[in-house]
Amino acid sequence: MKRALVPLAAACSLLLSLPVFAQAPGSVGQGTPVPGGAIPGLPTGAPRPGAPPRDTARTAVTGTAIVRGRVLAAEAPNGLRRAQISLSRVDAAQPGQQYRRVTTTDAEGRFQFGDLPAGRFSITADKAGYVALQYGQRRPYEAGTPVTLSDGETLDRVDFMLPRGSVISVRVTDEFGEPVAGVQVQVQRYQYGTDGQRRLTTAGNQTPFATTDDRGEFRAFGLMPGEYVVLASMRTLGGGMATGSGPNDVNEGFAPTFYPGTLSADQAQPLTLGIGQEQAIQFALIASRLGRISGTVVDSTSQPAVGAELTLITVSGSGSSSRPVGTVGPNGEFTVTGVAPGEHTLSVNYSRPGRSSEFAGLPIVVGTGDLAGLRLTLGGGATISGRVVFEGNTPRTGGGSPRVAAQQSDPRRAFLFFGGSTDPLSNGTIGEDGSFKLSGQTGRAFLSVVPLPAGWSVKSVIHDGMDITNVPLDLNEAAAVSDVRITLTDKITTVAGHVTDSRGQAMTDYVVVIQPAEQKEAVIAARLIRVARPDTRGRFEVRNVRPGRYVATAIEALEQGRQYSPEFQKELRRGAREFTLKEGETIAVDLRLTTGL
Amino acid sequence: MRKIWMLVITLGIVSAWTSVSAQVALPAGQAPSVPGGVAGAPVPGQPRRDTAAQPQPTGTGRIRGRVVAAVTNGPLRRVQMALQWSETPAFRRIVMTDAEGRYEFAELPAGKFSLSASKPGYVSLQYGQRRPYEGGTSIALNVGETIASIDFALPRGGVIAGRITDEFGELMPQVQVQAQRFQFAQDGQRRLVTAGTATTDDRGEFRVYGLMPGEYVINGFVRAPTSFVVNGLPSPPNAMPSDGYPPTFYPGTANANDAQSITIGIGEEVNIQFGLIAARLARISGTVRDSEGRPGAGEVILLPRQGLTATNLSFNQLGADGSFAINGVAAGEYSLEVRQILPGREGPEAASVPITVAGNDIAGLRITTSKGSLITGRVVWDGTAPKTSPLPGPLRVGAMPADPINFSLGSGNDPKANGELDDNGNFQLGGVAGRVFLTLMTTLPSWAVKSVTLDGQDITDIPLDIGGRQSIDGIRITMTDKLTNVSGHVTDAKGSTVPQYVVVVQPADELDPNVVMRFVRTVRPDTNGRFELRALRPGRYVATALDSLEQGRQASPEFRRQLRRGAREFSVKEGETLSLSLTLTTGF
Repeated sequence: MKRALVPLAAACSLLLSLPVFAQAPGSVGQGTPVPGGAIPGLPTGAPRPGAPPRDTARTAVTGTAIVRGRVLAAEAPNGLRRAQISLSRVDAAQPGQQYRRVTTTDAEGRFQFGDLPAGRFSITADKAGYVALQYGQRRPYEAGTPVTLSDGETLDRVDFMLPRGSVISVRVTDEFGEPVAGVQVQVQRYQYGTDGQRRLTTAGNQTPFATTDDRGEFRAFGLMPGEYVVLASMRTLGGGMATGSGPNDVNEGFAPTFYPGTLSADQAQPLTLGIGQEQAIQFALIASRLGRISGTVVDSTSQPAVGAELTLITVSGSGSSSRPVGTVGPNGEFTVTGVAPGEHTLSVNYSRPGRSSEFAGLPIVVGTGDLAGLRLTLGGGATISGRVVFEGNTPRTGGGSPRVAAQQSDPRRAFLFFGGSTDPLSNGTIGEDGSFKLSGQTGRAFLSVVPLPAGWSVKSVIHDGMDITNVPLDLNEAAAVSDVRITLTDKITTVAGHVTDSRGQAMTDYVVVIQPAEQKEAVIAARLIRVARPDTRGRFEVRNVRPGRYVATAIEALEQGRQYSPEFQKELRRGAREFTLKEGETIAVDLRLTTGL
Repeated sequence: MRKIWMLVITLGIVSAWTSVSAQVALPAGQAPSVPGGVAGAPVPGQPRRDTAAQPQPTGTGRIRGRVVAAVTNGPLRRVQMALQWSETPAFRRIVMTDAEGRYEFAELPAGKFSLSASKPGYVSLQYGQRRPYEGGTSIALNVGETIASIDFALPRGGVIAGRITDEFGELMPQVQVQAQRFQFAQDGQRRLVTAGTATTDDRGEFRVYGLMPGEYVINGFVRAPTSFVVNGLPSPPNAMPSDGYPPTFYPGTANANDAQSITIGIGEEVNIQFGLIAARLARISGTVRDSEGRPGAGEVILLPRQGLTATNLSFNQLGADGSFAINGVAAGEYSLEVRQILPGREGPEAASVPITVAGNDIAGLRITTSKGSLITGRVVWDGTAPKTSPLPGPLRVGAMPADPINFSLGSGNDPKANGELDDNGNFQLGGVAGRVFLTLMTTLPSWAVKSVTLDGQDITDIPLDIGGRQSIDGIRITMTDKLTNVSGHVTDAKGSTVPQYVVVVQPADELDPNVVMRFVRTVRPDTNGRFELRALRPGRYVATALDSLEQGRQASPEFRRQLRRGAREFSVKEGETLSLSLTLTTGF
């Protein structure tokens, strides 16, 4: 089931339910996408010794601006109390400028943030049971617009009208119609990944591991209007404990089942929800034999990896669950039972004192039969080493401790954690002299510095005389990638402008998509594509665009993630305006709205 | 997943349910790396092959039976049957019942087995368990024997359902609801332990299901937004709401002792409704320095000292200058645990600070972490039995916290000195803090600790107080393969053999409350009506046979005192096999 766009029949009414905002200057660029997603094992917190020196005397940012507003229920114009309002600065260009606050509304739904510094902020309102909205958001799954504040300014009427969330009420039974308790239910929707593919992701912020109750019932609530599929899966055997097995133990269970009763996401029946709508569904889990997988594991010297730890990772929607499934036995043999049909990754981790750890990850597809004779050969992965060079005088303060990270180019790899290193000497920590070492790496990955110090951006990543900033390194082949030079610059680019409609009238609401002038591989394009929405004066601004040739297109609306679709990128080129951006340059790009996209 | 699992291990008597609920509440996709472990828990990812892993033992025995629903007697399908062999914790097999409720384990070795049956919505039972919160009995299987009719009748779990409103009577979605019960902890104190959790839906409704019959207190709370670090600083006071919904206990009190308990019978459903009380939430702030006065790096974990679950602990990053702030803290008793991850510095450091929050903010806390002590010593083997472990991994010495609730997240976790034995039996164990007992952590079925000595003094059962010492040398752990075996039968007042009972064994002399639980053992009979205790430490004991025992109650000093009245005294020497005949003591 693949559709170009979630039909937004409900969007019009959602649009109507949102207030018209006061005018204020400013604009926003969406954050740079981070292909590859989460970085496993990234320690957070303070600077490490050996990292570039930075000042430790810090004071909290404060100012004189004020933002006030109200949160109302869309269905009836009464104030919503204890809605959570989150404010965060989106234009922190200097160290120490990052800013984040949370408050709650009073009994009348009012909120106020005082003592704010000047800057551009995104504001989100959230209340359980309602749809969370960003300020300026008019449609489901659309980005909001920023609020701009000058020193001493008081901005009133930053109001939100929250639509009641939609509800899918699910009843799950077994093949005999008896309710099944403890079934994990996930509501999913199709979303574009950074590779331009639409795939199912978990909708909204559902409680992980929420399960049906003793009546087999589950309610997914607070959903945006849109199209959803529902997946029910039984929690794995053994509650996360390693399971043993006899050679002939019988394990009957359930396969992960999509509504109305299919193993295939393509055959799942989508449910379309309007604003505040409730739909009740009931379906039966598909009974299935649980599979057994067996094979052998050898280390890099072809010796049996006796005692290596086995983990089964199952990706579902935008999350994954891992469960330890035992250790490798005497002759390097292993057997894992109770594996539900579907796609999994069998990960093996082998650590021995005094030796660097070895690992492997094997994608497997389990059907109704067993998988025997799997053979895994462990390896230590690639080690990447080199130096980070800071070009510029901007202090490198604020915001965590930057490390060199390898970001998987395949978004599906983002949830598979294996390999890597937790050793500070080889986990990408940047030393006093800028040197770094990153070991245990696999897959295809881009190199970057995460998090980037405020005011800095990656100028280039050079290896073997080649600029690989946006070229994924194939780490499966190489044992060592050395002499990598990552240059960070404090010369930040800015692209800003206005948009007019077909009659030449200035527009206040639109989306600008900036993409490379030449079509590129989807995962590379995703690193360069930027999306911007206007501030309330109608001006858009994007910082930190990599120097190069781009085309920019202004459109009316954009479902988040659609910019990653290569077909859509092609369509966008038709009405696009080309521009070239040099290092540290600020340029104005005024655009005319392209309709029909 | 491991993070929480390991936290739960040190809580002493925590029901399996708590650990399960704690595990499942973790977000998916969490990186499995555990920078700081728990003292006593085996360090994951450090197996070594000096003890060869054994293949899963098999044989020709069979255990089979049937599971039905209590009351209706209808067959229950897809019940998870988990079988464990008493010889080794590594032996664990799981099968599911078929459509007729039947199951079978084939190819079993001889020995004693424990078996549990669980199905969501039903009360999980151990074989031989007759009451809620009671231990099971074991199944004795001879070579090649088939034991049939190991049957279960699972009662439907109790349900506490209801609605939660705010202080204005409006229904509240997304409220965390906990059903908790009081249970004896290792120190004999009754503490709240979470037995079930739920979240209210958009209609403010919740259902906590699968509950054992018993008495529960219910609370509801809203998770406060977690504090964050921006610009390398923890969020300032005005960055977070200062009020919220800390736990309100049914029918409407902030104090657990004033909570009205709800009694659930078998399969019973009780409906309640109550309102949460909004309250000011405290902010705890301060700074962390390492043992050399440098700003700390890592995280501060706030753990409630009662009713810990995955939903009510909070992880807070340290700022760049070692400062921290924890927002949204409800009144109560906590343990503030600091884990320092200091790349480039020597080993991990940790600190543990008990803290009582009364409602007001606590500012200016100064916490200094410590490296802990480096303990070195040697393990000596007094005997010739093979040192084979059922679990793969190295032989390893560890430190168990002596205090009943001591999380000690950092101790004993120095990767360079993790307690592994070298070829001569020498070990180095770094990062140990607080009061601990030293022991061999690796399970060796044929071996037991005979003594632990330091400078000629026997400290086997005296907590080693690390204090400020940087190192402690010359620990000698003597292992013996001459294990004791105490077994027997129980008869009633008329001299008839009793098939079902619980035997509680405790030291004949009153001991320090922190030490006594090392000697207290409980045992239930096997299918032949016989009890057996292996590897009891040599010494003088008293044994009492009871009709039943609520799990954990043996930790209560008053209860143990009562038990002494009907008890039979015995002494057991190293390597001795003893047979006891006990008479059932009634009236408990």
